[in-house]
Amino acid sequence: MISTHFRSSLKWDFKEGLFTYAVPFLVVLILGVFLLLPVGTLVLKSCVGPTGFTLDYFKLLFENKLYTASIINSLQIGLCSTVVATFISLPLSLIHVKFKFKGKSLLFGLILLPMIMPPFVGAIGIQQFFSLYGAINLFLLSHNIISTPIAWLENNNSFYIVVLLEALHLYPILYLNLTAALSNIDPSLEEMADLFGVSKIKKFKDILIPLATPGYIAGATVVFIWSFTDLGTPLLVGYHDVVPVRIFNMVTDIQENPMGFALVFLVILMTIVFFYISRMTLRNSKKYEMMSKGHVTEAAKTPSTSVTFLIYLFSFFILFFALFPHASVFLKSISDNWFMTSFPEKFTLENYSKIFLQDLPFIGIKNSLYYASISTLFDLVFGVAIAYLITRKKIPFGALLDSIVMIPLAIPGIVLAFGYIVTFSNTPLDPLLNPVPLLIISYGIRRLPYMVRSATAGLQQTHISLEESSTLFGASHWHTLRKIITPILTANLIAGSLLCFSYAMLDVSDSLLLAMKEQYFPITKSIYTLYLEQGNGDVTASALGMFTMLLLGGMILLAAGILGKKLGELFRS
Amino acid sequence: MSVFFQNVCKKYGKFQAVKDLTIKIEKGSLHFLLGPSGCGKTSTLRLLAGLETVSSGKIFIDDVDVTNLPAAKRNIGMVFQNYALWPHMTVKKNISYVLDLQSIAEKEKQDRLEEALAITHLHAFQDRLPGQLSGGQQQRVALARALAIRPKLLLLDEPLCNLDTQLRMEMRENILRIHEKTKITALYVTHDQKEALSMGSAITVMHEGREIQTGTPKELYLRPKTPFLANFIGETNLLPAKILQKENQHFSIQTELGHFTVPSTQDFQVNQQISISIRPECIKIAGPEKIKEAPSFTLEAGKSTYQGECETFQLYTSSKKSIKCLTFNSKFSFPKEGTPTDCWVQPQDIILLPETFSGEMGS
Repeated sequence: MISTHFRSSLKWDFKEGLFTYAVPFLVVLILGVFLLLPVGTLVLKSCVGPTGFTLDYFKLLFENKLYTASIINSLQIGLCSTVVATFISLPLSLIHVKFKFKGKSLLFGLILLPMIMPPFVGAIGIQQFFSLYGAINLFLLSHNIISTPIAWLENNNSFYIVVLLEALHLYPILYLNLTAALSNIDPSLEEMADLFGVSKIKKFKDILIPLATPGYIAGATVVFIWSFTDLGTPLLVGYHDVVPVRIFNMVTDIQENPMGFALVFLVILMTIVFFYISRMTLRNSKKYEMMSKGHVTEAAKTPSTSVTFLIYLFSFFILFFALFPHASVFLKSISDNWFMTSFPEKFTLENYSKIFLQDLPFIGIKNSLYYASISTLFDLVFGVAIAYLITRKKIPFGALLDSIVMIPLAIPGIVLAFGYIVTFSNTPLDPLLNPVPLLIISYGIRRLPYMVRSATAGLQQTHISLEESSTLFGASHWHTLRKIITPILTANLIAGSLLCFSYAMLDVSDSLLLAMKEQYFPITKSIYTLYLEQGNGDVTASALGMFTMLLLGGMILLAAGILGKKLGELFRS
Repeated sequence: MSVFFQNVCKKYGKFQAVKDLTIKIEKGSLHFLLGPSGCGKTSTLRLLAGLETVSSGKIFIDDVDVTNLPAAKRNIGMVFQNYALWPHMTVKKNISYVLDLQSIAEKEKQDRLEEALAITHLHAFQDRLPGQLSGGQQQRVALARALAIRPKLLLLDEPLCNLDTQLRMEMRENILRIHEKTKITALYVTHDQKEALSMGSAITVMHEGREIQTGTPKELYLRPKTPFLANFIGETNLLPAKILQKENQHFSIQTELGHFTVPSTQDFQVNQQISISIRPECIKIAGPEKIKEAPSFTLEAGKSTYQGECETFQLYTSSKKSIKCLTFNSKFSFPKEGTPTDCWVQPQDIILLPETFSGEMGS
């Protein structure tokens, strides 16, 4: 009896030990090979020349006006997109926190919608409307408002279009962060200020702003880095004087032109600096974290009818602009030969049938579903295991593991894809031969933090005693995992998987750079290739873009239905 | 500074949090609002602060109608349950920030800051952020900030509920010391009856949005006016009774324990069904010290619980109703379970209550 028990406990200890040490080891190994190695290779190549260590590439980089202009342009896109996104999201967050009104959940669910709408698809619609003989100019010409077409997308104008598309795509990130930060401010802090006669402006300036700043900076950093390193939007809008497009164009001659390494190093450096600033701000803000909320009054007040009207007006105004590019893509996708008219004259669904009948779009759909499913499964398995280890097991260097799995958040897709090409060329993983393993790994690694965060949040909200009581009643760890932990975490896991899957389906940088042969093209590369095709390629690209958005939108609605949660809450876990 | 609530009501949609409240808070008193959770005490406090608007009725501060006066113009200092300290400001800044809003000279501001820090013994912590302080220290900062503006009134919303027992005792002393020193009129909300009984100069007990009774702690304990109050403040034995006769504020009553003739300031009619309250410490188990005139009755002995300085005895009436008896430093050995036991009570310790009760009372 004793020996059986001893053997079973020994067996369990072995399994437990395997789990506790093998998972972190595997994660570190995968991240080491597929994250740190490519990034390290890029850094090394940027400062090692034929004769050894050199900073010549950087010297050349800063002496070349084309590159410096691209760096400045990219920084300006990052900065302006963040500023515009702030102006959109701050009022929305304040409205969310301060007011309660009919249809609030639905409205704020819709406000998050642009997050799953890829801006580069929207760019196709923008082209249709704002090109020299696009819908807007033709409309203005036909009504004699202008005599010569306006070059909306020329020179500096395309800069503004990129900024607008980025801001309208990314403001939900800032909105979610700001709303969380503002909601966390105890209403009694404001009430206390009211009692002392602090004016509304002073209250906003001295109390709300300082307390919400850490949350804002966390969101603003993501928006800045995202728009700074986004490849798809400037590429499709035609604004090519930016760092990501320069890097994209350098992939083909990387062996001859080492300037790409220096440019990528610069992106890595800037990303690290901005994330460091964000982290420091958040660390300093820990000092502000204090007592738990006690008796707290409801912060949200019911606004008057006129204020409610203004809230709706403002929200729909934002939604109109945020969804305008995608609405125009939709219009294009159902148009039959829309050319030289301000509005389609005939409508058809034939473009949608083309995406299943033609090779290129169908390959894209099939490949993307395959790549995204496997990468999501990878995220699910490793994400839950890591989250469990971090929250439930006192493993050595748990905090370090937590930090390591978050690194992919700070590495832009373009950097990683570029690193893969440089590191794995002429190896069995050479993307030129077969990019599938690297595509799946890059999709998986870059979205792993979402799953870890999602599962960690679920586990932290669930008291360990729920698992302990199951174990006390004689359930095995495996049984407890299946019957207790998994059902409790379902909501978080679905939300996390959904984010991972959606972002993998919409991935632009890795997809455009790594998939070089048509048979391996994911959706985004198919859309881009179709868009560049002569003839009706852009119409099929629009239909494919719409199909992707509808697929993702449908999945999210389905998940919301399964979870019984509101759409907005889905993105917050 | 005195406060008067005149028929004040507060509704949140269909829910009425405060119902027809009329109470007076005397100048310089430490007045407690006591009641179970959800009884409307915090709503009452917030109405006085001006953080909520009155649905009907009026509030006067020093005979001035402040019902519609904005919170900022009432000159009220308040300590929230969670202290509501601005977490990004140091202790000093939390206090000086509110002083900067006052139209007073720089020297005066400095003096008040020093005074607030001194009275709450916070000098050593003035450069710390609230998150770097203990619960008791945070509570003192909240108090210092509230007092710094020299308010007409100080409102305290369950200020000690987040502290452990030891710290709570210390802070009670601190608040009493500061109140004694400042002589400020203060309204203190709590659900802790011991806190109210030990600190308050007056207590208003609230239940389901209504004022049940206002009085000194002793009055409320010794002369509760309803079975709810008798049960809420301290422990008691409640029994149904019937008025048999009345003569000069002395009432002859019939209870399960027997006949008693009891004095009462309240008026009752013959044949009226009432309740009686007898505190556990007023029921004595017959021994040599029994007062000759005191009426006695027989109960069945139950279990006893030794608690150090006191001992609780469980006794049962013939209908098996439980009666609790409490003795202090008793050398008496309690009869075995099931043994008939003679008990007695002094008539003046029997409290006549106008309402009958049903089932358990919340406490």
